Amino acid sequence: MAATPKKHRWTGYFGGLSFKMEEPHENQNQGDGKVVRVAVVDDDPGIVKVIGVILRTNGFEVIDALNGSKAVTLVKEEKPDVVLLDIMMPDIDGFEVCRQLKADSSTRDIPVIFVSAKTGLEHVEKGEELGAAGYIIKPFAPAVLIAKIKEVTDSQ
Amino acid sequence: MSEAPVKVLLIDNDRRDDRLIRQMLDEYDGTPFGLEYEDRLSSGLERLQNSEFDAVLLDLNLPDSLGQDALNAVISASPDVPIVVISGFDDGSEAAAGALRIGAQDYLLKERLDGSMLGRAITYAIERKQAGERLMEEHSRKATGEIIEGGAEDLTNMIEMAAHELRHPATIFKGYATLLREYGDDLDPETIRDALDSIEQASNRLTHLINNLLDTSRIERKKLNLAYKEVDPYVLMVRAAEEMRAKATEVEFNVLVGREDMRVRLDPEKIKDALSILVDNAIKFTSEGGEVDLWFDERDDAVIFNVGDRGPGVPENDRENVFGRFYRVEDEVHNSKPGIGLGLYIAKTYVLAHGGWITVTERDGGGAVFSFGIPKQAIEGGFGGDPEETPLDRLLRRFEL
Repeated sequence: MAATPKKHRWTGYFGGLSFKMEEPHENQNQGDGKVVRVAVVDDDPGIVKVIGVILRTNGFEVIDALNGSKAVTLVKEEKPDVVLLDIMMPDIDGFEVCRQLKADSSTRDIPVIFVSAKTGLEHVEKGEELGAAGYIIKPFAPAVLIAKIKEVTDSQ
Repeated sequence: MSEAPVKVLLIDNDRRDDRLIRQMLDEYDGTPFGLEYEDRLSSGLERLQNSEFDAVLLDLNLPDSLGQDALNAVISASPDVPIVVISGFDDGSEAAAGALRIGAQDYLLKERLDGSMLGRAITYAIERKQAGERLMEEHSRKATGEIIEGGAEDLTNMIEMAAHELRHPATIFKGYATLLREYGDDLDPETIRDALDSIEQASNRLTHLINNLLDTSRIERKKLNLAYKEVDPYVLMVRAAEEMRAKATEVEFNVLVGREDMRVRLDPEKIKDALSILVDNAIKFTSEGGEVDLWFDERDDAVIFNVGDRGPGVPENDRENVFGRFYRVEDEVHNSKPGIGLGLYIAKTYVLAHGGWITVTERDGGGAVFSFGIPKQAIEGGFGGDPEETPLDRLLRRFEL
């Protein structure tokens, strides 16, 4: 493994594409045999559920939070390998969650991927400024989500 | 130049009344009247269907219909024509109050009739009916006017909110569709069932959103027409509860009142929609296995519909705002709930259009109660002359009670 972590390559706007997903139930690991743990943060339980099913089927371990402040606590306690973060949430929004995670040395290096229904370029740019590793627009092709997660965790 | 006569239809089983009333109206100094006569309800209704009348004089004691049924039938046939009930015997203020409640403009005793009284009564009934209609329009305008001021900014806001909200069901459809297509054969039956349930729920939510947007659009284009009917509020409540039972199986719905012999004039579709919106809202704040209660109270002037939950309640400083457009209660305790905040706004508009009011209060023992009142003399028949004077006051005055 390289000693210096690669800078995350910025990729966004995958929404309309469709890729073939991988064979199910093969555990996703980072080369050291450790299963990749994904934190899913969205205020809509339906979205948390569908992302959870997709990720578990693809061999990821999933933890979730239904609002921003719970997300900050969850990520600080559980130290997942990657965070999927909604933007519009009732208490503190995804941008603020990202800012708090990037401001804390214990969570700074955990890659954050925004998964949002907000399509404006200004939102994508704001995500990038805050140090996010990616921005995926809802609705998204599951394979794109998985490819993005693998990309950011492989580069860790 | 002579005035065009006011066309009046007399429905009365006693042919002698035709002559008597014709004489009285001839004696009247004011507007000239043109009287036509039918001796049965059925022929009267037919007449109303085929020609236009300015007013109906109705005896409730008819060979083919008795009492309030006749009145109801005439109102349903010609909701725009004012009705003066004439009664051959003094059956007490109860019967008179009942007739006015249903929608008659006046109630007179035959034995006390004279030309000038009858002439004035008919003229006033027509005036009152028109004033009532104007007032109803006014209410409708007031209800919609306060929102229209926002204009273009609101419209953009609405489109953005809707577009954002539509992406949620789309995400769910796309996610599960891919999952089922790619892994359908490997998934266990429970996961598949779960996926299908989620798709169905997302579809329901989508339909709900579309309906809300359509309702809002109708309101904003001022196309909110009310179709008044006389209904039993209990039946409305049971219908709203049953619809919800089918939709949300994880919550119990209780109608806390029994059937009473109560009637109120309102637009049943709109008011049932308003009730459904309140129940839907209550469900959002009720956890699985929880209960939502529906009941109504009767006041002298209004019927009050209530929907109570045992959720976290509405914070005091939010209570005024919850009925605004796009308002969603959003804080740590509540989390955000699906929807773009149009439901309560639609409910409020429907209620205001009836001349009613809507409010949310803290429920005894915890939770929230959303209540709305619909005036019993809903605009029709209730206004004209002294605005403070209710039809009952007028009646009591007439009988010098």
